[in-house]
Amino acid sequence: MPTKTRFVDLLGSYEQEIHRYAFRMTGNPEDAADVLQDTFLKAFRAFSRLPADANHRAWLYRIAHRQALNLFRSQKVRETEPLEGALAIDDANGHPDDLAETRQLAQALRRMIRALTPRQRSALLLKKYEGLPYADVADILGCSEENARAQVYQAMKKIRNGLRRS
Amino acid sequence: MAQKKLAQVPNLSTPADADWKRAHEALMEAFASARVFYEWIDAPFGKVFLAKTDEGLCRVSFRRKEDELIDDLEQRELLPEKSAGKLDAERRQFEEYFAGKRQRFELPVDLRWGTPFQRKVLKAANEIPFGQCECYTDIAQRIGHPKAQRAVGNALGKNPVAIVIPCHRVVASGGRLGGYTGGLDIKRTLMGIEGIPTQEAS
Repeated sequence: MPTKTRFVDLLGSYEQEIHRYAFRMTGNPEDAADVLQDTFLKAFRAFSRLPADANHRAWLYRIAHRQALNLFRSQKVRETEPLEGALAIDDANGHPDDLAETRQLAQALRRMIRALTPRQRSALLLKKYEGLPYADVADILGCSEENARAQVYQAMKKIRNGLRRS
Repeated sequence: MAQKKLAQVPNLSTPADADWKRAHEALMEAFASARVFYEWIDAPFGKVFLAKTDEGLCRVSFRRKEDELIDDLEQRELLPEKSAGKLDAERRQFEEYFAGKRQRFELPVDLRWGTPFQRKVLKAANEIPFGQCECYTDIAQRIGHPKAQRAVGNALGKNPVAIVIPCHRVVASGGRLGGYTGGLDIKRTLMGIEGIPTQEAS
């Protein structure tokens, strides 16, 4: 019989990943810490009612996604202007020649991602950065798989268009 | 150009180590009252399960199935973690007790899950000195419920911190052993350690 998943194992396995997602979603360390905390406290209370074969990772992201949206709702101002720094691009590996160009691209990309709706941003982060399958992204956003694909597509399109203009 | 680069999706920066550390610490602090550390220790009659919250020892059990014991803790909305040295003081006192070198445990206990009646009974049992015993009726009288000997027996049977609260020092009238949740063999062993004569043993 496989050993039962314990909540403390979930903490160990996903705490850092959820924090990274929260950080990129909210764009600042304070809000990320809040989302992380709310997510795991909520998850802890619900854990005993979760079926043993549940997809724990997607379940945690679903809670985290909702917590992030709640946070945006409670501080309406931030919704359209988070991500300062959080979406900076790692350019450490770039060629020196490319560096200026990469920085420019990073700046533009930041601007574009900032303009996404929270749902598009979440979909983009989950699919393109955390590598979740569309089925999970749909589950997390609480929508159909087609809709999840559409969110990611829209996000990418907005960014591409924005970059082309810049 | 931009489009080509985007096709690979540029790497977004990850949170700085300091931010991650702060967030982790805040989370652990939020969980502080739910965290419980557990460990198995050796006793003359086998393994004993110990668990401890930030308030104190909350479980001393002779049951063998770790899964069930952890389920119990989770049902109390606790977050059980295997202890890494967090129960050293407890382990040491138990070792001393089993070796006959300790008469009294000096450990905080966490009894928050018991009913007020259970806590009253356990408190009364805790006052019985090492090497002595009392009957269920003695305890019932002492807590002011002289007819509640059966309820006293039940409350002792649910003692979450066996040995530390010495419910093994409570016996039936007429020198009979009475009951013990961990089994009468364990009760006899504990009474043997304390030099309490048992009719059935002699």
